[in-house]
Amino acid sequence: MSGAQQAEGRGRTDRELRALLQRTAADAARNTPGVAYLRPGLGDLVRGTVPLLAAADEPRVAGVRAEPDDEPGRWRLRIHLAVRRGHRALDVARAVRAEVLAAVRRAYAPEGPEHHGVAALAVTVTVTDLA
Amino acid sequence: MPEPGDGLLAARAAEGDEGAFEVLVRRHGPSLLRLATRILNSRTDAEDAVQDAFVNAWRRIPEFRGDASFSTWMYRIVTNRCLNVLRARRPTQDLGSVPEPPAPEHASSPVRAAESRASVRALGDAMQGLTPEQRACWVLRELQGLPYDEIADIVGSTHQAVRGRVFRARRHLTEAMSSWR
Amino acid sequence: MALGDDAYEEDPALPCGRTLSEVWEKAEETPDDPHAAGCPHCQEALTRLGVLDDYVREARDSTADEAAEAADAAATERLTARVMDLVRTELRPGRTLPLGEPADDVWITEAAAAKAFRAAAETLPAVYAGSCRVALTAPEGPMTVSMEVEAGLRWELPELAEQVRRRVRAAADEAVGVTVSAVDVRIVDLIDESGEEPA
Repeated sequence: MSGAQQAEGRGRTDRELRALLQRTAADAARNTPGVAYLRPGLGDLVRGTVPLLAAADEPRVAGVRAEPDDEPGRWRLRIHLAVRRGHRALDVARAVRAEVLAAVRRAYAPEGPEHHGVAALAVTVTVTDLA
Repeated sequence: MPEPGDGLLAARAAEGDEGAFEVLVRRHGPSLLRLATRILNSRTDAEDAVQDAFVNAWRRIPEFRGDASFSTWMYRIVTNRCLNVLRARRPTQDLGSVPEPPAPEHASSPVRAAESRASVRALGDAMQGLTPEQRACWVLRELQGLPYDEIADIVGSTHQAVRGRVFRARRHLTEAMSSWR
Repeated sequence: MALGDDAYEEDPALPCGRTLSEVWEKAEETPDDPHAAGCPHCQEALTRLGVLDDYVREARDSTADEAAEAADAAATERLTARVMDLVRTELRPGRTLPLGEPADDVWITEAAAAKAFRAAAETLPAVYAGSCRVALTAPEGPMTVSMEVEAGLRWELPELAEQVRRRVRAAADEAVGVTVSAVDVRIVDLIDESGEEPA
């Protein structure tokens, strides 16, 4: 297998895994009490970056971004959300982080039903608005 | 209790509070739409120009220091936008040459009926003979009722130059309108 | 002389010696000028300007009736929706501030924190919050808040500042979840609650 094919093959796997991780994280975050809605990420909000991301043909879920880390099997999830008024931003953000970690573990841990080689996961939650 | 002032809302908008900016758009939209409609003689073009001006203002509002009022600042952005539209519409045209009438706008709104009164339309047609700068200065002076100094500030010119443009606009329009009647 | 030199080719002198621009400007600045009142040339020039003024008034009135106002309101709604759709694709959330402990890996944008603090200050009667900056005193906090407010004349200034500080501290604890070490309140304007809004 040539280097290019290898890169392509791995890219496709990553892309599929990225889409799955993003969907799992988004569902878990959306269902956490106190979350008003997931919001396009800060990176997406800065002028000019949206077309770049779109051009990269990457699966996108508003407010959630999964990126492979440098080491194989390590992933980073970034979640941006608005907290519903009457809820404490810190508590909601912590709960989202815990829910997302648990959901991803359930689905992708080595002993889980859909193990795709997610060895480690870092989750960053940013509150971008209060609604 | 009165509404919060423009300066306060502009400071919030500068810090990224889009809700405060929305209040400013609602508050100043009507007068800016009127201004642009008068300068451009087209409601559709005016709505596009004011929309562009507000989006531009959102990008630039962190630089807005409040030495001018928010209203004057917006007048400046809208007027400049309108001047660019007029310049693009009629790249070279001297005062006194026969103007191409703008494409007629047919709409069924009741406002159209009022606006289409012959004399108002005749004035609009006569204004086609003005240069973009004369037109903007004349509208700001005669239709918006602003003082010369504020107009100079808005169009980025001197009091003297604004007086000159308003005079030449009046002269052209008095001639055009006396022959119309 | 009121006009720039370049205007004179288009500013003819009337037989009475005055130029057209002088006649028109004098009429605006000194309406009861004795020369103009008795000069037929000046009067003729003023009549021509008067004809234009009539059309101008008509044009101004045509945008002041009820139908025009309804159309203006609809156009403003349309404009606001279009502008805000574009604005929301270009938000400026400001810096990202840490929420909780470093191990939490949870954050809040300055814009979101400021929104909570402004809302807290505005729970006070006749108080409007303007600029609100949130800064870290050290990489992990605590934070300082600097807020500008406008308030109604009913408020005593020290009392107002104290109340705003109290509300902001409460919001930091209850609504956000950050430690605020200092709240700097600047009262930028006092509003006459009976009448006009401040400029």
